[in-house]
Amino acid sequence: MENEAAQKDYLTYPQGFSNLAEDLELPYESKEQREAYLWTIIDGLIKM
Amino acid sequence: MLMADSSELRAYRTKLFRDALEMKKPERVPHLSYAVTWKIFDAGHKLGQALHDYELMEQIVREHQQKYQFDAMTDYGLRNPYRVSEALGTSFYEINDENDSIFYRTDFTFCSNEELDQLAANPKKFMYEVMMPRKYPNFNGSMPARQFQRVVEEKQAFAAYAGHINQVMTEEYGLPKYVAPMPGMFLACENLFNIVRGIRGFSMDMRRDKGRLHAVLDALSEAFLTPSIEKLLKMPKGPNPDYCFDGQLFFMAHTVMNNRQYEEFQWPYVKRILDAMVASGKHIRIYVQGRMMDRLADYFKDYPRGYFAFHLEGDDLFETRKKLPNCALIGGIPADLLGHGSKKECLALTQRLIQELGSDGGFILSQDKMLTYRNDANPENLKAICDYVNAQ
Repeated sequence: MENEAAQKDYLTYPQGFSNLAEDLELPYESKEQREAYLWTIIDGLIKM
Repeated sequence: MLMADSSELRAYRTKLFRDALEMKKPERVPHLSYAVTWKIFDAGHKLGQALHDYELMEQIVREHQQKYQFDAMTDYGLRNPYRVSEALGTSFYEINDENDSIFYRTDFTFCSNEELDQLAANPKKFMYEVMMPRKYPNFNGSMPARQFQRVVEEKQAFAAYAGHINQVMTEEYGLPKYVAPMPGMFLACENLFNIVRGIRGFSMDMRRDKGRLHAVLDALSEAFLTPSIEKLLKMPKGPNPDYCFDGQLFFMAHTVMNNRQYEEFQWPYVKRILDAMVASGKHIRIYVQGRMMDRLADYFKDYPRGYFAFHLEGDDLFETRKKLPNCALIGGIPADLLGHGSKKECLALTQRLIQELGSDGGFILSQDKMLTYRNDANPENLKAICDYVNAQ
């Protein structure tokens, strides 16, 4: 999750979203849980 | 009423709410605090500091309950997680500590009329690729993961505060748990009105672009409402007696709709939610901004008794009770009266509300709107009402 990761595409959906969920330190292990958690954050940011 | 410990007090208060909600005669009318940022001023602090300092916010929330002794609070300083959005470099709230004001920027639309087809085609993709960068300019192609990691960390700090303050207020102060965990009920019109299109854009779409608006409402509902209803219907049936309410909804978009538009754009989705609530035996609080029941009460009159509690901002509660004898009512005390009326006027209204609406159940006393600004309540008026209710 450092410089190397910064070069990745994070801004497209669904691929960039999946990349971001993979690179972040999140309190879940499985891909499904990590993406669901990240989506709750994105959804919250949009509604905020 | 003397209680042996906080768990006994919590059970007593929870039952007050459940009885009122289910239209049973309660031991006394429950009193709900709808104070949000007003608590900060009342405790002698500034918005900017309190909204960024969870330890200070905890102290403010504790003081609010110690001083007024409500039966439940809608907000423990959790309504606006500013630090989370600020970690991405943007806040849509403007806080001014010189004049104690807080404003949400409403002069913004995240989706133009021309983009409605794109939104309908894939709501999640549009939210992620178009709305996020518009709302948060740092969410761009060069954003490193470590910048978003700060958002995650703030989200976790916020969740930790939420868990802690809920435990404190429950275990130390005997306050009931407020709303039971439930899948979020998404209302597409509210989403377009409040966030995606804004008041002006949504109003124009209803008048000039009905076809595309219907497509967007259906797409958003399929993406975000249908899965929630499916989850709800799989949950254990019946109310969760550990909480005051099983869920809550907020109605605001009706304020820009005429009756025909409400029937066409909003009601089909509201009906899906209310029908699912009844089918699953859940009892919910519905906050209604502005006025609604003077022209739209008929939509709710045939639902079974005791499922819905309408927290009314602008409607007359006494008139609404005649139209909706099947629904509980919440509110009754206007912020304007609390802020600018006399103690005598506040107490007279409280007495009348309790006698006429609450003696047989179906009424929860509260403020008519979120107490936000310093002048939304005179502390002496609020204290007098609380003392009166607690002496019943």
